[in-house]
Amino acid sequence: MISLRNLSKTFWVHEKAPGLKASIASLFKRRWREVHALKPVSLDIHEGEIVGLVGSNGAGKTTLTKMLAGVVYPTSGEADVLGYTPWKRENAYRKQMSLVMGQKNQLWWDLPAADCFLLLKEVYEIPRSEFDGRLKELAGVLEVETLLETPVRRLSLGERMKMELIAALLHRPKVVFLDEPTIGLDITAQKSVRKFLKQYQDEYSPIMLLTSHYMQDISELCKRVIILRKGSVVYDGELAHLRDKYLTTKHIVATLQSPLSGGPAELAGTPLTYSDDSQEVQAHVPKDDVPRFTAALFQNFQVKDLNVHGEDIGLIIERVMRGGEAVL
Amino acid sequence: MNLRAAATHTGLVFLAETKRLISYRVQFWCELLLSTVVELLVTVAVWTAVFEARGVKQIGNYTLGEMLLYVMLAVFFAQATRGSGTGTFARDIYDGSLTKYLVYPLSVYSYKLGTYLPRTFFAIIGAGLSLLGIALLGDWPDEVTLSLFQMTSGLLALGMATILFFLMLFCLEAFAFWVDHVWALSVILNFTTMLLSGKWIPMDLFPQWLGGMLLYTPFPYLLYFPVSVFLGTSTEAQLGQGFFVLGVWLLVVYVLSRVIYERGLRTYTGVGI
Repeated sequence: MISLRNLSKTFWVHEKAPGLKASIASLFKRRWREVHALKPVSLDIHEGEIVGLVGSNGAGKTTLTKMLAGVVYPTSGEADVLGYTPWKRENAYRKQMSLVMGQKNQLWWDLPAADCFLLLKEVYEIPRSEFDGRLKELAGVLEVETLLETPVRRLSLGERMKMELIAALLHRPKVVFLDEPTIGLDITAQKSVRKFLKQYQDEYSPIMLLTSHYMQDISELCKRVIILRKGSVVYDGELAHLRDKYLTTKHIVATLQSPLSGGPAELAGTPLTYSDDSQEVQAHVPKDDVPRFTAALFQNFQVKDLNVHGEDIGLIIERVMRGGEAVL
Repeated sequence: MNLRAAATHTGLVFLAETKRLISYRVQFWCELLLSTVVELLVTVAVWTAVFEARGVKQIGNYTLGEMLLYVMLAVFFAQATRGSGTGTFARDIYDGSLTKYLVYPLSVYSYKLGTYLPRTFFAIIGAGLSLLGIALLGDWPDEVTLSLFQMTSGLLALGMATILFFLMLFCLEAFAFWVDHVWALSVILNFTTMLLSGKWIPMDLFPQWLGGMLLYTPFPYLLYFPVSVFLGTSTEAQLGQGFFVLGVWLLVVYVLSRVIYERGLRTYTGVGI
């Protein structure tokens, strides 16, 4: 269980005007700017949940993740993760959590992954029999068994991320913080990481807090999403609810039995557009009008095929992230 | 964290870091062998020239043989106390890599000491082989005898000195929490240490007023003291007093490092390259 009450973080950032004069001046006097990376945030995450944490760059996602992982001290507020205050960094807590950072290599660069895992086995005090079994299982699922003896620096980005995931999960943590685990990976590697995370979550049910700029990560893995904007939570709830609330129109594409030239410009009060070959009719219809519109469509056109698409969830999240009203 | 776990972690990191150092073969041999040989040759040449130029058989309490043995040990012991991986703690803070040590159930001290000790280990082996080589070649100065007590207490002093210098560097590098770059400070500390710890000139050849003053600083205990203990040139009283002062400095610098580190962590953002 993760429980936050008014958790906030303010940084002081050094500022310097461009040019040599400003550089010399900054040797004697510095100008500082206060940055509210995270404004007071309160929320709860329950056992077994996998929650997506999204927001634009600088929204406060990584700061929040780092505070919960005990890396960064908060400016104010309280946090309770599995009964521990993260930034006290008690070993009992650190043995039950993991932090995976897609942008930072946490393994030992010059050593083969197998050596890194052996080191972690001792650090987490994992019994040999369990360690061997878990490593075999994780390496098997992620298909990296043959790469365990290759120095980490010689692995591709995708392979390295898989090794990072193994390192993070060897001790079966109860809480896993994933900060952009698929960043920079190709589509195949992204899919493979997502599939693995889903499988792992289904089997062991740790709390997972996933930060990602790839909406597919969020929509495929998370039922609940927290959206941050400029350090504040602007949405915290079910992904499905977000779709219901923010999905205003649906995109309808009808394929006609034969090309139609000179068709009507609108239907049931909705403007229509036609494809270049006049074979398809398209319209953006308010979601509540879809039944009425499709009925009219069948009455007025000879329809061979019909597709109704909702707006992509990624676009909806992006809209909320960038300035839709708070929906807490 | 208990002491046993900390020692185990240090041992494991030591092994991992040793493997890492060995994996870069050219760098390993150049750093370990070439630089040591060059330094030894220069030091031996300088002192031989000084003795010849002055036309004396003894300077202070040192014959040429004793002096060469002293400076040879000083070269190896300096490498031992200086350790490996210096500067990496400051860099970890600067580029945000410190995060990984904060997340693992592992003391940063254990980890960093583990990365520091491989060079100490290789330097001690180097010193041992060199002493053996001198003895086998028949160049051992008659006036120097080595006893088991001298060697064990000398190595104990060297071990304590290594940890003391590790903690001094830890304090200095921890300033990276506030000032980002501490390279210049680190160079100053290294240079001051080499000068005041008796690496180039044994401290009993320093002017008396300076030697007396330095006894209250940690510097003589980093190099001169372990070498003197090893070569048996310290009296029993100096030995006891030296270990006591070394112990006090260890405690003081450790407490200081904890205060600086804990305060620094409050400013740590984990942001970097």
